[in-house]
Amino acid sequence: MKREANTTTVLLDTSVQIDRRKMRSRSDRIDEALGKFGRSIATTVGLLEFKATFIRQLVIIHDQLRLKRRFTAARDALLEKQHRQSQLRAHIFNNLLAVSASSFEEMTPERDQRLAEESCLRIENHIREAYRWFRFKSTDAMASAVNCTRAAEYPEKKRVRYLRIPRCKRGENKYCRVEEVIRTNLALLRALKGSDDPKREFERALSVADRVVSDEGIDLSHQDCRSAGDCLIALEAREDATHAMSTNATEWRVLSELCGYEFVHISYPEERTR
Amino acid sequence: MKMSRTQIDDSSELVANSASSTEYQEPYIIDDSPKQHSSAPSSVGSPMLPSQDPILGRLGGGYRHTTPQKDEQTRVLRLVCDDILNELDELEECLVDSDDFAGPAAEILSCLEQLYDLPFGTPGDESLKRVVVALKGQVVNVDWDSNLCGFLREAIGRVRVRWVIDEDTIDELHDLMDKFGLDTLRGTIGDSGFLKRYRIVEITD
Repeated sequence: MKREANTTTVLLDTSVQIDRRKMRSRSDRIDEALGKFGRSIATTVGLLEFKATFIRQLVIIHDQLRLKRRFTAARDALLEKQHRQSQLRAHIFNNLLAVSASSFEEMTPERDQRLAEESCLRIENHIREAYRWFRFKSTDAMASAVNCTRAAEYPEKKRVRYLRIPRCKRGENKYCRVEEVIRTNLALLRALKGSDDPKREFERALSVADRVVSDEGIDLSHQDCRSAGDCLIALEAREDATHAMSTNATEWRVLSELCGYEFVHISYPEERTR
Repeated sequence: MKMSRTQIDDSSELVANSASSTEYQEPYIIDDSPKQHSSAPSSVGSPMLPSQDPILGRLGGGYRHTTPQKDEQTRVLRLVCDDILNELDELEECLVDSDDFAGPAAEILSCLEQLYDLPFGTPGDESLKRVVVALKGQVVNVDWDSNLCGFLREAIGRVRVRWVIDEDTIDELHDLMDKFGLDTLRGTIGDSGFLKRYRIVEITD
């Protein structure tokens, strides 16, 4: 009997993509879930988010290592503080860099410096490869209704530090269709009003949408796109995806319902501690 | 409306991912054979040297500009690479005969450390160091097998014949890791091979 082709296409939220790079157990769990779908897609706004979170944290660690030239000093400076990305930073230190650092060896100043230098170079490799992985290897295709210009740019190094993502200015360095996508899907965005929104993500997205409607010549920058990140990711793949996969059930359940996706929630019950 | 696979592939808004962003570039091959140096060109009637050609010269076609320092760096690089390849031969023999590969594996790591400390390219250029770090990321704390040996052999073989080591070399190595099924972002998330998995089962009497 001829097997029916699997025509399902799953959209991967940035949270899922980041988890795939965080830990082997999470990566395996997601790969297992992806096996049920015909193909997977990511979006250009998703890549922008990935650059602004995962790759940005790699850059911050890199810059600290370059500045302090001591692995332990840079690690303490970045982890021993209440920062909302400190968990992600800890993941990077523990899971990506720890292969250089053995806790059984005595840490001398020279060893510490050497470790900082090697970690720096390792991060430089990771920054470029993480970007290439997301853009070319992580999914079968990239939906690009917005076609974010910032997402299309490789992370660029100046002399020793990495450049920050520049402010988007149409006619200078921006060729995307974000305002057009928002105007086209305005009714859908407005339907988000009144939805359960504990993190006020929909509120921020609606605020961006209102600004686009009230100002014809508005020039949104990547910070605005990140404010409306999840909504833009959902809209960008609207023509292609049949399912949406995310670790963030609260927002994505609502977005999936609006865009007509079947929602696939990824969770890690085995990681829960009593 | 959902699009079929064919429609999606044809769509301008959905970009199918290729294996790599960068095309494979032919490495600069260093010719070992004794060269027959041509005499200095006479000013009249002699053909233009490739290096004098405004286009070929810029592309580095024909003649290579080198210095004794660069030659020495390349010579040492190749010697260390040869050492690694020799150790790989031994390690592969160990894999066939027994599981005792620690000696050659330690030697390979030591050679990689030597390669890391080797000055190469322009002052301040860290590309060779990045290559070594990328390779160490695959071979540190790992259970060696023939696949890994195959990867390292091909990787070192490619680095050995490079005249210039740059970002493209590192991309090429990452593509090679993909080809051999290795994790390009391997850290401790990579399977060390030494880990054993246990299951705790609750006993009910």
